[in-house]
Amino acid sequence: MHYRERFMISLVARALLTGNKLKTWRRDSALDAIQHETLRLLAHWYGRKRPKVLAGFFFPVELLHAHGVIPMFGEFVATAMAAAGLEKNALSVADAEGFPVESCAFHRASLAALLKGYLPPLDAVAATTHLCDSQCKALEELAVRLGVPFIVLDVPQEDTAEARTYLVRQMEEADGVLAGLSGKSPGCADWRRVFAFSNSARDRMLRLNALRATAPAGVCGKEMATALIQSQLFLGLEMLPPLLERLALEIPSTPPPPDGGHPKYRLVWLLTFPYFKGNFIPFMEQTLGLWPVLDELTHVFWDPLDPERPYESLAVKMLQNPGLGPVDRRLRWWNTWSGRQTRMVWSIIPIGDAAKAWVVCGPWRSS
Amino acid sequence: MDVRAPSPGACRTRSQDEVPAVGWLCSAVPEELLIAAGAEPRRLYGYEARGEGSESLLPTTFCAYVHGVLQAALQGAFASLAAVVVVNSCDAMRRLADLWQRQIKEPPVFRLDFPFGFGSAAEDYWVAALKHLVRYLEDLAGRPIKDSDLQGAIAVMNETRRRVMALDRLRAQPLRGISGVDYSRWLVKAFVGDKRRFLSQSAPILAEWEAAANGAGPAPPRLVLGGCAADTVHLVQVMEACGTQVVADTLCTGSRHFDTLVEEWGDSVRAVARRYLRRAPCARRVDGSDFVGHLLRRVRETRADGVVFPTLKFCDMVRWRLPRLAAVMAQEGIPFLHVERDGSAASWGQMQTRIQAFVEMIETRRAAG
Repeated sequence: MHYRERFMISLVARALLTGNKLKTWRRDSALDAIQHETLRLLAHWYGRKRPKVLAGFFFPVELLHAHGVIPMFGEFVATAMAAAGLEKNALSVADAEGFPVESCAFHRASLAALLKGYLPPLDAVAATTHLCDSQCKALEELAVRLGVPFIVLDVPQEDTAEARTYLVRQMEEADGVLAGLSGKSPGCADWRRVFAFSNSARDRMLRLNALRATAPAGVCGKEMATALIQSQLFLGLEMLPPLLERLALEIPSTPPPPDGGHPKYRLVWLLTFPYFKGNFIPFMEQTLGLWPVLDELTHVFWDPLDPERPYESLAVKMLQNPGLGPVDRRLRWWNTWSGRQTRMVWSIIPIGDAAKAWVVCGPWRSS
Repeated sequence: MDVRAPSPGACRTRSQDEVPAVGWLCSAVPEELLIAAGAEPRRLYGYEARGEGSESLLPTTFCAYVHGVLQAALQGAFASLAAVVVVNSCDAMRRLADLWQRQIKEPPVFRLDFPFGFGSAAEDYWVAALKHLVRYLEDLAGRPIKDSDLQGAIAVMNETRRRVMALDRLRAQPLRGISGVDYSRWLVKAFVGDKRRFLSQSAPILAEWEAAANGAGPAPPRLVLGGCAADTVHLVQVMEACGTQVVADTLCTGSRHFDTLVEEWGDSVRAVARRYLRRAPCARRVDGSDFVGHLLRRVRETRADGVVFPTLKFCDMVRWRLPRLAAVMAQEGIPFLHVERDGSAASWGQMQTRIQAFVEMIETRRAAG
C-alpha cells in the first residue's frame, strides 16, 4: 500500500538534497550547510539502516540521539511537503477523513503524510503534551494507525519537584521502549557525549542570538531563524557545534542590504514562520523592511544539561520553557529578555488569532 | 425553543448564611475536596455563547463554551463565588485562566494540573497536584481539611454517583420511568446545586419511577449521546423532540461525570486521585482507544440503535478522535451521526433537521429488519 507514494517522497527528499548540494557547492555558507544536513537526515530517515522515530518539535531530541535512532520532527515533514508542493493535496485527504480543519496545518500535514503514504516505515512515534494540543493528538493517531509504540511525555504546567519526578519516571519508561528499538540503553559515556555536543551547540546558539540581537536589520531574517530551528533536530550530534560556529562568523561579515527607501525594522517573532509557497515573508522583509531578527522557537531558555543526571536535566529543560503555564510567565520573560537584549523600542499587541501569540515589535535603534 | 445560555443571574448571589460556592469547569475537578473544605461545588454549566466582551479578548477560534463562560464572567455572573478551579484541559481553558487572572480577578482562579497520562507516575503527580488544591482550599476556608471531612465528602459524592447511576439505568429501560430530558435536568441539579439537597429531593421520586419503569411499550429509536461538553438538557430536548429516546450518554456534562466510585478506605486523597484517573476517559487523555471503547460499551449495554455525536466547533481534542470513532462505529454497524455546532442558536435548528433525517434512516433500517 502506498508504495508508489513512498517511493516518490523518498525521491523528492533525495532530489531536494541533491539540489541543495549543488547550491551548497556554489555558495558555501553555514546556512546552506545546515539546510543540507537537515535534508541529509531526511534522506537517511527514508533509508533502512537504523530505527526511525517521528517526533514532535518539543520532544527532547537528545534522548533519541542517545539511543542512536534517527529522529525527524513531524513539523519538518510538513515543511518538506510544503517545499515540494505536496501539501495541498495531502491536507485535503486529512480533511476528508474528518480531522479538524481548524487545527494547525503542521500537524494535519504530518498526519496527511501518513494517509498519503509519504512516510517511511517507522519504529515509534514520540510526542509531548505541552505547548501544543494538536501535536500530541495528531502523533498519537499516527502511531495507532501505524501500529508502532507511542512514546509520550506528559509535561506538567509548572516546574516543581513533583513535576520533575513525574517527567523523570516517564523518561525512564520511554528509555525502555527506545532500548527495545535500538538494542541498547545509553550508558554514562553516551550521555556525556550527547550532552557535550548539545551543550556546546547551546553555547553557540547563545552567541548567535546575541549577534542577531545587535546586527542591523537585513543581516538576519527568517532564513537565519529557520537554520536555528532546523538545528534543534541535531542537538546532541557532533556535526552541529562547528556549523553554528561557522554561522556566528558569517553574521558580522554579512553586509546589510542596500536601503531601498524603506526604513528597516527589527522584529521579535513568536511561534513559527509560514513555509508554504508564496508566503508573505519575502515581501515583509524586502519590501516593507520588517526583519524578524529574533524568534521564540530558537531562544535558548534552558540550562546546560548534566550527564550525571540525564533524565532530570532533560526534564528541567522542558519545564523551563517560558511557554508553559500562565501566559504572564511568557510575557515576563519577553519583557525582560527582548527589551534587555535587543534595545528595541517595542510594544506588545495581543492579536486575535491565538491567545498564545503576542506580537512584540518595534524599530531598531543603534546603541 | 429556549436554547440560550443561562443568564448571568443563573449563579445565585450568596447570602450570609449560605456556604461559599466554588465554581469549576472541567469534570476532572474533584468535587470531594471542595465539599471537604465546606464549599458548595458549582459547575459553570451550560454557558455557550459568544459576546463582544469575550470576542475582544479571546480568539474566535476558541469554542463557544470557553467564550460563554468568559462572557458571563465579564458580566459579573460569578461574582458571588469564592473561587473558580480551572483545569489545564486544553489550550482554550489555559488561556481562559490567563484572562480570568488579568481581567476578571475576582473570584480568584486556581489552576489544576490534571495529567494527560495514566499509570503510577501520573497517579503520584496527580496526588501532589490535589494536595496543592487542598492547601489552597484550606487557605480559602481558613481551616484545615481533616481526613474525616474528606471521608464525609467522599461518602456524599459516592451516594450522588449511585443515585445518578440509578437514574441512568431507569432511562435506559424499554418503558422508561424517566425521560432523557428529565434525567438531564436532575443532573443539572447535581452539578450546580447542593449534593445533599439533590439526594433528598431525588430519593422519593426515584422509588416512584422505579415502579413505573416496568413492562413494554412502543420503542422509538434509542440513542446514545456523545460529543463535547455541552448543555445536555438542550441537546436531549432537541433529540427527544425528534421522536427518539436518549438512553445513555458519554458526556462529562452528563453521566460520565458520575461513573466511578471513590474507594472509601485507605489514603483518602490518593483514593480520590485514583477515581479521577481511572474513570472513563475523555478525548483529552492519552490513549484514545478507551474513549472510543467507552462509547461502544454504552451502546451495547443499552442496546441503542445509534449514536448522535455533537461537537463544538474548535474543540480539537474531541475532533482529533472523531475519524477513528466514526470508523469503529461503521465497522460495528452502529448508525452514527456527527453534528458540528458552533454554539449559536441557529445551529440547534440545523441539528434538529439532521437528527430527523437520522431517525428516518434508523426507522427504515429497523423496518428492513
